[in-house]
Amino acid sequence: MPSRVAATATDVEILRAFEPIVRYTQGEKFFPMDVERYVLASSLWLYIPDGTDEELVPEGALTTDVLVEQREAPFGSFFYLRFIGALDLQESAQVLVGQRQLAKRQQSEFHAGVGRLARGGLLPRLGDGLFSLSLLLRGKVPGATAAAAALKYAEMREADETYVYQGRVARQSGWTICQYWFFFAYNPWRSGFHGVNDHESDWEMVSVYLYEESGELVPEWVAYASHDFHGADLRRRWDDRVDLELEGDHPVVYAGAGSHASYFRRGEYQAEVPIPAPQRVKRVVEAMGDFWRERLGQGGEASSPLRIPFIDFARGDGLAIGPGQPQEWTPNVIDETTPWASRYRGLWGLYAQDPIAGENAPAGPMYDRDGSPRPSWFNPLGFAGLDRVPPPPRELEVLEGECARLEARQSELDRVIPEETSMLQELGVRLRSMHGSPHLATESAKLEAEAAEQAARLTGLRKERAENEAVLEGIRRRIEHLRTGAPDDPRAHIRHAAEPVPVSKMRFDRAAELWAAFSISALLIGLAVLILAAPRNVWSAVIVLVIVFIVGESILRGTFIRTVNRVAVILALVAVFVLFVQYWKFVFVALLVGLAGFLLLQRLRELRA
Amino acid sequence: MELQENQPGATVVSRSAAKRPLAVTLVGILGLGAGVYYIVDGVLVIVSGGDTSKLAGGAFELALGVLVIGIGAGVLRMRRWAWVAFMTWAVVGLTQQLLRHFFYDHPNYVAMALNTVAVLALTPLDVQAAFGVRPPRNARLVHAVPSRSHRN
Repeated sequence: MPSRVAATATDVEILRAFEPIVRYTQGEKFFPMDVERYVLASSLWLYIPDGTDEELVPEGALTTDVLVEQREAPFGSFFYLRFIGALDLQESAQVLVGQRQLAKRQQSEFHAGVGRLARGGLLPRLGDGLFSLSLLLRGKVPGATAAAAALKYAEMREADETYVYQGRVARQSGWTICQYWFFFAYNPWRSGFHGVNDHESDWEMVSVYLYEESGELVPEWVAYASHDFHGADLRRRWDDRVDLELEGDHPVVYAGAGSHASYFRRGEYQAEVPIPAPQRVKRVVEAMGDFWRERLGQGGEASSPLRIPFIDFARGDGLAIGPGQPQEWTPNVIDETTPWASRYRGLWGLYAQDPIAGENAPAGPMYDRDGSPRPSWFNPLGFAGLDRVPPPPRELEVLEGECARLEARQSELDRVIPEETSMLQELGVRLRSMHGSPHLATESAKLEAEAAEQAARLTGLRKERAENEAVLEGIRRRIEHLRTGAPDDPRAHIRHAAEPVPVSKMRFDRAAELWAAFSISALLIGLAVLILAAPRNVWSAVIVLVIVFIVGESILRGTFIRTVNRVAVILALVAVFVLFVQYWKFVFVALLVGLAGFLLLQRLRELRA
Repeated sequence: MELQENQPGATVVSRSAAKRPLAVTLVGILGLGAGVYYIVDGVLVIVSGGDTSKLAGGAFELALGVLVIGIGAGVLRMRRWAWVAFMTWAVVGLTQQLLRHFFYDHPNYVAMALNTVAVLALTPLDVQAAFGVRPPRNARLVHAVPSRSHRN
């Protein structure tokens, strides 16, 4: 039985009652902090589309009051904060050394563990390599920025070790929503934890959905923002013991190392980054995937090769913050009237000019990067797919109302349908009486059209009645179920749940790990050697080399059987094409003869029958 | 993840009892035929005599013939290892013939066609299931998760 809090309680009391416990991963360097201190330690900049960056307010002079002052800028401009300024070579070297000393001092170093590299196959690793190379062309956060941010944040944390969430209580459609916004000075997922991106500042959010019953607020749902998941898949019911871990009335969150994404269960998760590709290419790839799975009987789950897998480590073996933990929260209540939340639409960290936005800092809790309103703020119910779900005490009331409305409509239809039937029969009788009278042809045609219209109307009414009956049956069954008080499946709404990668797929042996580390480079060097050493046979040698690498990789990963089948099917398809081109006349003749034989057999069977 | 084959609605496939598809029978016979061909050719090469390399070639063909007959017999008996061996054989054979076609001379289109037929015959999911290479189409794959508690 969950604890309740009085509906008349203050926002802070409501937030306090259900605030989450967040467990971080060993090696995490950034934790939720207050925005005022961050702003004071940052400078405000303006990026103008002609490529210039202008410092508007220097570090030390910037406060949240100064931040929200109205400023004009051309279209396409971005206001952004900089937590770390530009570093020269010497400063970069100093901060990198300082970061190592800090990690030793804090005794909080991250180890990915054996098998991280081997988790993706050859192609994903090639994609991973190309993704890393793309950072040379795309804008990115400069190399030493993460180290400098870690040192600066560590200093701030040593001076004042408080862990803050920005708490918001929203009330919509009978629900009371507690939003816990966590602000981090930096997201070091790429530089610290082999992830996708780095960016200055980070916002994460956890929501608790409460309903009112007998003057008290009762928790019903919890939603965590997470990679790759949307809507109803983000939320879990308060009594869902498969996923949702509670300590008292406090949901437990496992935060991804560096990414700070929230997970219900401790583990290592595979996050996927879509490769930007034209829609036409995506459709062709999807069609080929369908052909592979369905027509060629290869089965398996539909997964796109246009996605690069990364690991998000949410081990929960580091610092824990929350009620009853070594560190507790300091709440800071915000709403639409909080100036820094509502009046600053810029980015909360460096604008790295990354066209796919991964390295650009996020905007505040109320806005997206382009300054448009953030859906999770203005539509917290829709964010977790709850906009169609009434609070539990209202469900019965809503259903009974709908039931009464439909029953009334059925009574009306019961009255109308016989009347309409009678009218149609009258039309039919009149039409019948006109047969054989040529002078009534025009009148008969008119009546025919009228009868057709009447018949269609009657069919529609009968269809509506039948459909209503089916809907009513469902509603009555649901009402009966609710009245008995029997429990629903708390997970019925989940279509795709974030699952930690199973241990069997996570831990490969040292040989596989070594192979994964060297294989792509070895393959590329092998190709280079072939181009130099065997220029006349280079293509055939390349094909053999690639096949050998793919098969060798599969042996180490324990997927030899599936891989050898895939390679065989691809070669067989090429062979079919070659044979068709080579012997198309014979193929055509064989098809004609086969068709003729088939048709002949069919006709002979008919004759015998 | 554990494979549950004895749940209602799931098909229990015993390989010894599974019916052998016609295509698989043909592939098995093809393997036996190819094996016999290699043996006969190898014996003829050895009997006709010649230098050491020729004799070694004949002996290799002889050994290859025995191996292919073994694989063909395994396919007819629906053995998992035979399916894997045949696929591996096909990968090597198809690679060789396709490389010959695209980059060199004298591809053996008959061998290419036979390998293609064998791959396409052994690939359907049901055939793979019959060989025990993959679980049957409607086998239930379930995670071992704690039982769900109901709300109080």
